[in-house]
Amino acid sequence: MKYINFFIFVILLTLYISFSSNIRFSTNFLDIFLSQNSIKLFDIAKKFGYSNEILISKKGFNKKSLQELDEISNKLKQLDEISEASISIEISKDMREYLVKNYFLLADFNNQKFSKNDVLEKLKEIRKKIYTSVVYEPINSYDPLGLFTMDEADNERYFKLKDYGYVLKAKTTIDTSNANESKIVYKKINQILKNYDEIIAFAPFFYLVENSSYIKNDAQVIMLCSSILLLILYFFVLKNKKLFFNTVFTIASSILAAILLSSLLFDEINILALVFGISITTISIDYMFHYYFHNEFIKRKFIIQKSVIYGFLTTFGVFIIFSFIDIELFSQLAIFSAISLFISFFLFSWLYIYLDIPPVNIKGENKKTKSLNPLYIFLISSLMLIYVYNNLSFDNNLRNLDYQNEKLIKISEKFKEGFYNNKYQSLLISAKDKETLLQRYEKSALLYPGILGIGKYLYSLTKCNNKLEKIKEYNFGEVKKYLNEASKELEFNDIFKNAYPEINNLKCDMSYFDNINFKIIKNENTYYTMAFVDKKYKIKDSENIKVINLGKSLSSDTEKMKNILIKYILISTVFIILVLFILAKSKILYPLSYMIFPISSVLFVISLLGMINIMHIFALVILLAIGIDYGIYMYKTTNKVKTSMAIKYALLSTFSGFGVLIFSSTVALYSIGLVITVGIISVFFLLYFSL
Amino acid sequence: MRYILILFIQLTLYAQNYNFDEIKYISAVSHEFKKSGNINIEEEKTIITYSKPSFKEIIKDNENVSIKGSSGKIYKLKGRAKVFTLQFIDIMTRLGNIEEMKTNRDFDVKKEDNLYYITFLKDISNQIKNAEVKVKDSKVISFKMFLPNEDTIEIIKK
Repeated sequence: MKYINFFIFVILLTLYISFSSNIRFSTNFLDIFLSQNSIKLFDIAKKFGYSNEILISKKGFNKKSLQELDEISNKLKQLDEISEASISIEISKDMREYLVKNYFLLADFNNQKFSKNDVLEKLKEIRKKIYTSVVYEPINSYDPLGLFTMDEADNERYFKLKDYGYVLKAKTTIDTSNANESKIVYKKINQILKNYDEIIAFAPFFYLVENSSYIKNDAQVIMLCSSILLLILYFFVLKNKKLFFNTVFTIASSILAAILLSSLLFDEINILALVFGISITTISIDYMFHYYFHNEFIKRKFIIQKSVIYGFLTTFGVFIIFSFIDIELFSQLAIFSAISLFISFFLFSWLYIYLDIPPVNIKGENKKTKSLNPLYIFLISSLMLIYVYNNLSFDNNLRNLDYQNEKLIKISEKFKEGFYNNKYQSLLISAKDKETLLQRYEKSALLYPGILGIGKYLYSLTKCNNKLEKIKEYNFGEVKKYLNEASKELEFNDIFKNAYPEINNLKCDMSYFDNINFKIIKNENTYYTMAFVDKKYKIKDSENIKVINLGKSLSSDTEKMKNILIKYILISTVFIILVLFILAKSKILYPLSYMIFPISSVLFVISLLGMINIMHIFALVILLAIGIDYGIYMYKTTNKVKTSMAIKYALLSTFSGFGVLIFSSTVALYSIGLVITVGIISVFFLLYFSL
Repeated sequence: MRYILILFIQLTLYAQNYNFDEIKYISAVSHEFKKSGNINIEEEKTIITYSKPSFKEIIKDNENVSIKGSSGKIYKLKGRAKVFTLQFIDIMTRLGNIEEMKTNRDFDVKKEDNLYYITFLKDISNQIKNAEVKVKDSKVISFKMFLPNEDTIEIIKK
């Protein structure tokens, strides 16, 4: 029986290894925070390939810059993961032929009437320019009167970053949401770029690679600190190695059991639910310390300590309430925590009596302790909550939780500003067929002048026929006759004989092809295209036109998530108050203080420091679970010194476990650490006054 | 000292300065226009100064092109004129340098005796079909650009 704890761990580990191929972990964090509608929308937007773009710019608009970018482009093209790389705004052969064929339809048509004299004057102007102009500019013999015009921007030769230099655009074929694939490409690109000076590079997946690498290093340092603190606590303060190793086995067994059972209930276990579930499992160390400091392990019978049972059942009840929440991450987390807490409670209460753990001798067991009226604590907490209510606001920007990669943010901003991307918002237009899709684009183009998108190169049949009709109404025969006459008079050769070629035989047979600028994609019987509209226009989402803004969607979905979470926290609070009322009746303020004081202290500190975020709320749920246990232990205890000692060690253990996250420079981890640390300090405060 | 030497080599690689005669044939009017001038190429800036028949200066500074007349008045080129001028200055810079024939970025090169036949690739071919570069003692002495509309521009180094 001495090694039964270890055997249970080995059995569960064997089961885990045997079924590990059936247990799937999800690392997709966006799925957690985005609603199903938003996920679908972004999956479609991803298919347009904008997130796979890599931008590289060399400082200076000179020959050397172009040469270096050209070299880099050739090196990039040799990588398997790069599908295209170019510095010149070069259009494909298909696209060129398409533009030539449809030029008169696609260009803006100025149907100004030209008299014979007007044409003569125009050709005189051209002739004068030929004889006087210092620069060479070929005559547009197809449209000498300038009746058709296309954007000047189309004449640029190279991609340029304003006030910086030329830009090389490349595209990768990898799944940019996959951290491993992204890391490989990131390394290969940097290997190429390290040989060049004054180069800046950006791709959206660089954040994933750089931030995850930074967070990993940060987490490693934190884990090292945590391990050292735990070792000091168990080996040098408690001087009980046996207790340490058995606690580790019990916690590990509870986690393994929770993973196995959760995998039966869910297709995939989200890694964030797993991490938080493990954190919550470590709270069960409370039970162990409570038993240990009350010398329960030497009694050799199943431990029944009412305070621990009540504490466990209340925490368990809170997680059962949370298991009904309509956010999969939280229902997973709640079920995982409920299972692991149940297993660890059972193991600590039953197995540890067989482990021959030596009793602990606490000096001053019976000394009198000073005590503070819980009403004062309640009043202080209420004052803090009033301050919080008036001053605390919610930060729904999830980007603020990430590691603030200033260097990359700066480069990203430079590219956005330089490419005028900051000026535009993305619109996703959908329809059941291409013709309707183009008509919807054209309607949007009327509402939002300056729109960029497929409609610049492809018209709906209706628009094309209207344009064709307008062109055919124009008397090109007469203009051509005047051109020939004026040309002879001004001694031009027959250069204008082919002016406005085939214009009377124009037809509307524009059809979509793969190499056209701006894409149309098909997804589940619906056609989609992406368009870019100036941010000055306020666009309301409709069924067929949606603004694609990941930041905005995350904010609104996080806001919804926060509201649901608060609702469940309130339901849980009512449940806890009910339980505490049953236990303490009129003395409810005593155990309640251990919940209300830490939580109000944390919220107060957060409101002094800034805004509350979703990670703070995550950690508050953990703090709530801790607070209930301590409140009940202290209320039900017959020996305040022993109970207070057990709680202090449990708190030190919790701080060593995840309070140390307060030293992290990653906002998400720091937020959890802050809540736990402030919570722990406030419980220490209550213990000091032996409340 | 080593760095000064590298800097000097870098500067001389990009720096070129020569006088030239330009013969521009415009097929639309079947006329040849002759001009004389000087081109000064530096890393960031290129200046073409025409002295005959009248003073005109084309200044390419990074991606900006401006024209200076005899009155000293300067105006910036825009749109199609700017794009074509940038392209021609770039091609003039490259065709005037024998080293460029070896790197042949954006064009194919065939050599026959002292004549290089250049065929432009990619988008440049829409503006300049091909070119011929005459070389003597490993130095470019003249080059002629053939445009899609039968216009030609010939630069003869002096």
